[in-house]
Amino acid sequence: MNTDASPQAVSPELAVNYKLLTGIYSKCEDVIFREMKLGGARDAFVLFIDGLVNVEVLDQHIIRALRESETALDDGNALGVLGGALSVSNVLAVDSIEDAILHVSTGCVLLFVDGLTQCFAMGLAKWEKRSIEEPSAESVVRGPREGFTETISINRAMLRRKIKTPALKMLPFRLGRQTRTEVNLVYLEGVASDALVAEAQERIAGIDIDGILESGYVEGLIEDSPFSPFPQMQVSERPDVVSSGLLEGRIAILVDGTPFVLIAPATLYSMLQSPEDYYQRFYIGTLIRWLRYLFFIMTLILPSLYVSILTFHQEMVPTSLLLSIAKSREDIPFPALVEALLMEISFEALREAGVRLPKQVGAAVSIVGALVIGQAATSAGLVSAPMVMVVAITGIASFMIPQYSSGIAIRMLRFPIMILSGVLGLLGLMLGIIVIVIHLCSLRSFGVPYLQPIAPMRGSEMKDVLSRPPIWMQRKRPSLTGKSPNPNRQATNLKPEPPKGNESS
Amino acid sequence: MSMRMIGRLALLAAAVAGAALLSGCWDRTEINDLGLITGAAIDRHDDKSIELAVQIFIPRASSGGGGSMEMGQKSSTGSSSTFVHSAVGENIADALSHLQERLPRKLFWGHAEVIIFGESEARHGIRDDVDYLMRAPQPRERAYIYVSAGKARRVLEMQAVLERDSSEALREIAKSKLSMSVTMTELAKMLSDETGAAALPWIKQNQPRTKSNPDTTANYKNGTAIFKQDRMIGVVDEETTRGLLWLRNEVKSAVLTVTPAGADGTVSAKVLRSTTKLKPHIEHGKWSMTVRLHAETDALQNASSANLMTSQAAVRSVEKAIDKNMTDRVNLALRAVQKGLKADAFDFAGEFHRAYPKTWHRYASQWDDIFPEVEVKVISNSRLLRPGLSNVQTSEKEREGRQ
Repeated sequence: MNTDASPQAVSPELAVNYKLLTGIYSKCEDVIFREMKLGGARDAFVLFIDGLVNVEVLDQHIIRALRESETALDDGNALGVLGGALSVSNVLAVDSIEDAILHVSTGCVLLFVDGLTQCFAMGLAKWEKRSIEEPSAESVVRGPREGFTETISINRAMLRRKIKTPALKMLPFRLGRQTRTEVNLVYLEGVASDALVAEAQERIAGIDIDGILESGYVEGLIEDSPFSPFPQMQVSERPDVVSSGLLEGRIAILVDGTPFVLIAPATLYSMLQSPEDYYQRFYIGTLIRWLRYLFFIMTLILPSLYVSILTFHQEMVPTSLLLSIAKSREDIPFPALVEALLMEISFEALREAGVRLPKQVGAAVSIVGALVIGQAATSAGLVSAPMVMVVAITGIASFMIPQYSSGIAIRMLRFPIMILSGVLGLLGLMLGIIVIVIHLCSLRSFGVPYLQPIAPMRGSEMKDVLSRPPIWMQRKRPSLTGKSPNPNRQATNLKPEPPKGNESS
Repeated sequence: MSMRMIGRLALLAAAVAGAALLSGCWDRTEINDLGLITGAAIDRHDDKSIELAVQIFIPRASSGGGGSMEMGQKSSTGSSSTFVHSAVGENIADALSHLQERLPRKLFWGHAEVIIFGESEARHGIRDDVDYLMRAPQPRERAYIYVSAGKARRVLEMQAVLERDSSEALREIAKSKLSMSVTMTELAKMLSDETGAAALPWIKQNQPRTKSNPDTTANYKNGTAIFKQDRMIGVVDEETTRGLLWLRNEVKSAVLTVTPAGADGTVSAKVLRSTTKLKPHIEHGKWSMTVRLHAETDALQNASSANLMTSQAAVRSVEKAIDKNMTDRVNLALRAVQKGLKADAFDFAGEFHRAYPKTWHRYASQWDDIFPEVEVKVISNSRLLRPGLSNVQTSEKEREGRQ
């Protein structure tokens, strides 16, 4: 971490600047210096990084214009004169070398003119970027199909297109000593509480690290309980999800170079909600929400429940079911716990391999995996058929959680619970659940209890957890930290009705 | 320094994990090590000892594909997924421990669905057996209890064709509630209430009708064994059992076939809902009981000339015939049980106790003498709710009449 040159002003002598910068950018093949004569008389040079700049425009509109421009420039009028001469909208005067370097790195062209104590950064950034695509991890049937990209300016624009009010504020940060990553704290002024924004600002400003490569770095540096397996910030690559978070008074953190945006504060229930709940009709939204809760619990305890009942509480299984399980387990050499661990671990391995595999071999491996896990394991007498069922249902259930990171947390936690229930039966299972619930109760995300509004109870907000109320009933924003400055989000009496009156007329 | 701290913490964590594992899978039993008891039979062996027979599930016998050799060996008796094993002991606990000694797998009572008492044991007294079955944690309180004619072990050894095994067949029959069905809790309650009289379902195996029908479970007679205190004192037949069920308000479904007055054929009615109310009276030292039967029925088959669709009078006459049928059945049961066996299997005692608590305390000790003398008045009231919409039978007969 030693690139930080001591603060240095732009020298009026062009040669000094030139020497300094070529020194800084020695052995940098991609940095291009071009010397020229301003108006054919005054010495000047431009500096840019190849690949970050629109060279065509630079050639056509800048270099040509500069050659023909006036030479009578001084510190006072230079910006105005150049602004008039150059057909570039974004021209800034910069007077320190550090700022100049920062601008060069983000795709500006720097112009140094002899005799001036400032240089000029012209925004001509243009680099190859991915186009907007549908987010693959958060797809919906009904809803917008756009997802964030790696470029923060595009992401900002996508948010601004959704929320057009000037109250949408974006505070800039530059994080990473080496990477100088652009990070934006986005919130809706008048909706997000000031305390929350101030806290987030403080936490982000405290980051001092040499590189931010993904929003996960930021998340890991500002979350409340770093040792918890549960994510305390929601992650989304959908502009509509981030916008709805902003409209509820949450903050969003955009990080350049990744399509994943952090939303905070987050609760366990916000991790279990999909944007589509709100786009479909509310009945199905409610039902699917409950289905998700059910499978969330099943992901956590189904294999453990099976193991503990089968090894400790055989009387709890209906007779016919127990007899058929007994039949299928008769040839299995392992205890139920070992059987379950074997299957769950190989399932996790298959899943992980499936994510990392090149697309071409993916299909082949998944077929082999399905055969190995399902058919072959049963017929080889390693695993009983009911256990395959349990593992398969658990596997599917774990993918029902919309938030991938909480899915991972739950999938991970089921292993210790499995061992507990294999050792102590249902007692161990309950102990495991109690530990997890206590931990969840103690978690906070930016000061908001992780289980709010169930614990602590917030009567009126519980309806958005227990059901998905119709849009016209969602009058209040959820209350987060502190007092919400603007709790109502819609007018009363929004319930649609046919007009009253004489139908025959 | 911090490395040392981490080392210490790791040591602590390892110690805690080790301590958790020290308990070492307490009580863990794999299903592969369990001998699942599906039914049990208790017979008297001699004066001092009983014989406990248990039906144990064989996990691999009836699996479709495998075990063809076993199938071949047992083909003469049909594919059986259970076997019966027995041991003699002073009481159930003792017999069970002898049984366990000879079996490779741990016996597991949690799925014993039926418990059958042999006639000899029933006549000897079942209180000690019920004590074990209620006290031990594994046997289910919801297991169905039967009493069999002859040795109870024979019942367990019956071959079931439709069901998995004979105890499952007996359980399904008990669940259908068409005849008497008593669970262990109910039996314990009956034994411990003031009269100590109990009624348990009675089964008697018949000789197989044909050699080709191996399903011996389908081939038995139903009835009710009547207990006084904990000893069986007699058996009533199937017909009387129906009356007993009416009196105990346990009729869930029944089909009554009656001949209405003035009609030349029978009408069958299905009981949809029925209630029995017992109303006790004590007047001038005279104990009497009014039994009100109410049934709502549905015409199931009309083999008579009465046109139930059009004629209200015909419906009334069918209802009257049903009333008489019910009353007769109840009187039959009363004659056999109240007058004959003198056992209060209908819980009249409880009714009197509830209605006249003070009088009851005075006469409770004399109940055995009072009970046979209680005057019972039976009032039936049935309604034929659904006479039907078409009437093939009568239109045919009417046409015959015209020709």
